[in-house]
Amino acid sequence: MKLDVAIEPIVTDNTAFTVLTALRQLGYAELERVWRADHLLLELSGDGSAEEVVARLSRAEIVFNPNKHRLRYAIAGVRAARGEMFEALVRDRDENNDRLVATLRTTFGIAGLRALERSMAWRLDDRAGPATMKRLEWACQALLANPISQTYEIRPAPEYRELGEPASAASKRVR
Amino acid sequence: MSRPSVAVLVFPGTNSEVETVDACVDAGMDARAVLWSDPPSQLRDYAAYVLPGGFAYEDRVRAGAIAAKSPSVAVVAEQAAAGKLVLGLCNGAQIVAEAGLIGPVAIAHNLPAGHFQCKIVEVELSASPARCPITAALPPGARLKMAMAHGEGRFTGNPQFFDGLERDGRITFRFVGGAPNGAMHAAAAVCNEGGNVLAIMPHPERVAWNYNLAFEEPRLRGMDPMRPSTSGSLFASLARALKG
Repeated sequence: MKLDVAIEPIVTDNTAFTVLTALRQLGYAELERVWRADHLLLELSGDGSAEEVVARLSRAEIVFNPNKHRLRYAIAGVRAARGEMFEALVRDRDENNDRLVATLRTTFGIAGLRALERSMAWRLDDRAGPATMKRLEWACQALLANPISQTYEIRPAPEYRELGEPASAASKRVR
Repeated sequence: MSRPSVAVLVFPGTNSEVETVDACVDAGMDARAVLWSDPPSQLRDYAAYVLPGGFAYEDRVRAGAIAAKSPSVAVVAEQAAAGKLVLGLCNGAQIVAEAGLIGPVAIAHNLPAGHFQCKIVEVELSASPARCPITAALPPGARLKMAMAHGEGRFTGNPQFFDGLERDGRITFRFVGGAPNGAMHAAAAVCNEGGNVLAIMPHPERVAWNYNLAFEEPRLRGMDPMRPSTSGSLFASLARALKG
């Protein structure tokens, strides 16, 4: 099983605001909102439910701070129910998460964790609604990703939900 | 001889502009801090540019990424293309790299450390001094003490491209004893093809005088504390290049 985890700021996201301003100045004048989250892709062995893993991750508090962040998750590969919304994942080419995986596995009891990838997730909204894939691609090339040290992937946005929140409620909630 | 004019660019979050201006002034240049909010066009009046250290725009997105898109840096890029000298120091180096002024080179997170590293380091001039006008007045193989203070200071890129940088003498300074930040080829500084843009990760300006290093080197304690240190000579070399 693969699990998408988004760790979003619940305090003012200064970086997102700066990106909003910078992308507007770079020519995306109709941009209205930037959403950003630390993204983890957890690769897990078969046993154990997604909820159990997320609960353990929440308690670990080494990848997020409950006073500043909200942790939401989605089963990887399950596409968002709401229309055409895309998300860019920007990842460092040389990222090595072996130590984090070992800590989560041994110290925090996520025994089935096989691998983990970290990225920065970005979503953009403009006057017409969620930004198109082409717009996100442009934003990655213009600012969000450094082609020499990072890679990016643009994918249909998953429907993240909080622990204990039914999937149907997540799909109705305006993000 | 008149003192060459040098603009020291300041962005929100820059924190080394005072010592950078002082190091340039002591070396014989007419250095002034120019704010991000000043008209960018006035930058064209300067003979050279120094981008100092700090955390421009709080390192949002990536270190140097936002400042690299600023109108001020666009003017610096235009003037660099015309042959003017540009020196980027730490965060200034990150801005220079993000702006593409040293080619396809990135400055990424320190590895394997994975965290901010702060220490006095020694760097060695690893190319011919004349390869980069900014270092032309230094002796071959000069060793300078500098203050490393960064979390994203690892020069990286395509390995074949870095082999080419090595062959072309563009790895201007190298960390003595290996790069603590994991930089390819132990690079502490990389210049552009023309040699007129130099990006240095450790700070020369923070240890530009003897008193900055006296805690590190006991032999300096009996000497004139205001005498330029080894890394102060880099600013003297820049001044000499500008005076012709």
